[in-house]
Amino acid sequence: MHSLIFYGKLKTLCTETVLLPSQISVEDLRKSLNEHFPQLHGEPFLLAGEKGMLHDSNSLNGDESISIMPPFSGG
Amino acid sequence: MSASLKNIFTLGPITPAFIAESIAKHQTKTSIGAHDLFLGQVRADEKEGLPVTSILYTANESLALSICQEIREEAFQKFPITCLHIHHSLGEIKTGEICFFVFVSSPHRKASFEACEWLVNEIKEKCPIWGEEKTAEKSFWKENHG
Repeated sequence: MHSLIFYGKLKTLCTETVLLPSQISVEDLRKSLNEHFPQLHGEPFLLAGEKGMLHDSNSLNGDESISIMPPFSGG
Repeated sequence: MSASLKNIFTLGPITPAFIAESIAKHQTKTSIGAHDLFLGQVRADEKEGLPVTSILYTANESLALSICQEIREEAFQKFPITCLHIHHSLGEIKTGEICFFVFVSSPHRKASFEACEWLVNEIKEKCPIWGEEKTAEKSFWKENHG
């Protein structure tokens, strides 16, 4: 099972856990997150796995920690 | 967090004393002829009629350090610089305090100017760091504009 970590403003919006298949494309992961978390509607977010940023063309092939991140605002 | 990644994070504000010490440390590097420093300071913007009193910074630390390492390597490829240093605060930083410090040194000034601006923009755009602006009554998630 992937573990999900929400950051920034999403941390307070999304507090539930969700079961996601180990093998999933990032595009499907994004769709699943939007289905499970209606509160994400209209909120732009970026995804990262344990090895770096994830793009829709990537796939996950094993359980890992997924970061769900709103636009960055450092500096 | 990988041991080989350089830490950029400081808990609390980046102090003027730390900045002065950073400058002093370069006095032995005599191939350097120019330094350029960027200092980001917490600004008292107005939110719903109240002034921002502080910004609480959080980050996806391991990912931020990994991305910063890539940015650092790209900077050395793009610009003829001698060294660069990146520091960003975590935790609550009051208005007027320094939260972001980028320090670039090179033999000649042009490379330092250009690399410093490029680094600041890259870090703000690509590093997973978030600021939560606080007023006396509530908090607002900071948004970066340009």
